[in-house]
Amino acid sequence: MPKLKHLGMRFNLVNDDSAFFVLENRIKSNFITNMNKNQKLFLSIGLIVISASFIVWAIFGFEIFTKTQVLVETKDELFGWSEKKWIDKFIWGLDLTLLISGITILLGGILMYFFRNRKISP
Amino acid sequence: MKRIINIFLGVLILSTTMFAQGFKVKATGTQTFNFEDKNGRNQVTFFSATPLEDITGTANGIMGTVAFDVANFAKTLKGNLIVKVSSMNTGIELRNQHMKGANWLNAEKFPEIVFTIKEVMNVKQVDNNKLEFKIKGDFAMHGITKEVIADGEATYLDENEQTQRRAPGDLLGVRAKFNVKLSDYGVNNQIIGNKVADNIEVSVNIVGSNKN
Repeated sequence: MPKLKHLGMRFNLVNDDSAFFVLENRIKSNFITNMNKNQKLFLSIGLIVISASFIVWAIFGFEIFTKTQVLVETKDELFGWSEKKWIDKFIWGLDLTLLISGITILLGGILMYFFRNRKISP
Repeated sequence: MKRIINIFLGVLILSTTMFAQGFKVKATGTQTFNFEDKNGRNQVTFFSATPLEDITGTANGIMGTVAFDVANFAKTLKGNLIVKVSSMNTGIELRNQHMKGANWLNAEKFPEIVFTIKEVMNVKQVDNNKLEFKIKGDFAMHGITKEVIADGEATYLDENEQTQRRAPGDLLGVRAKFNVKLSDYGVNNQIIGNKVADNIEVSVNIVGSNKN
């Protein structure tokens, strides 16, 4: 169990469930606490960017696809019927949110890897 | 005798109302209307329900002419309506490219969608210058022609100050609605799958002028 050694695990196995619970929590806590200042900064920026993109998506009305034109209805005064007209308007869609989130995760992962601690203390 | 005259008048009024199949306007005789609109206001709208997001699109590249005897619209209406596939717009450029591409409407090979009028049925006089009817015609798309029946409405406007602002001459406003099954026209492949409904609702809003 070399990985567990690195994480400095010391626990008694009472039963399988509790062992996994302890292991999971220890890995989580070590993941955060073992991060250096730069990694924490990248993680924070990444989370902010992803959250912001989802908030913007919600503000634009949870549209699936990003649009640059939308249809608006106008009334034909001569015949009294309604017509549809395209107007230039940007609508932020889920596709753009997912793209930004994906790029952020990828960039964040790369940066966190390059700025990782070279030596892990026992 | 009075009763017989009343019945006769009643039957006469009823028959003229029931069988009135033309416009009661100033214009007379055969009129030809051109639907080519330089301002691009003439429009065909199409709607498709999809699991992700409903698609509403428009086409403004419309051409075509109709000719009819003003007093006998239903029996004499002839003509066609042409929509340029290249003018279709769904509001998303990538989706437009897919729609006009080889896997969908194939605009390069089949650049036009054509509706040719065959018959007008069930004409109802809504107003002196307005008729409601069902119109049967050949709808040609993607290289396949099938017969469709549309619900239609036509409004005849004699030339006046208001109509002149739109176009010179008398104007004919036409609205129609019908459904098109994509699979009937060979637009059914694995790329489309279930992303777009097979049934497309088509609405037509066009105005033609007899002096165009």
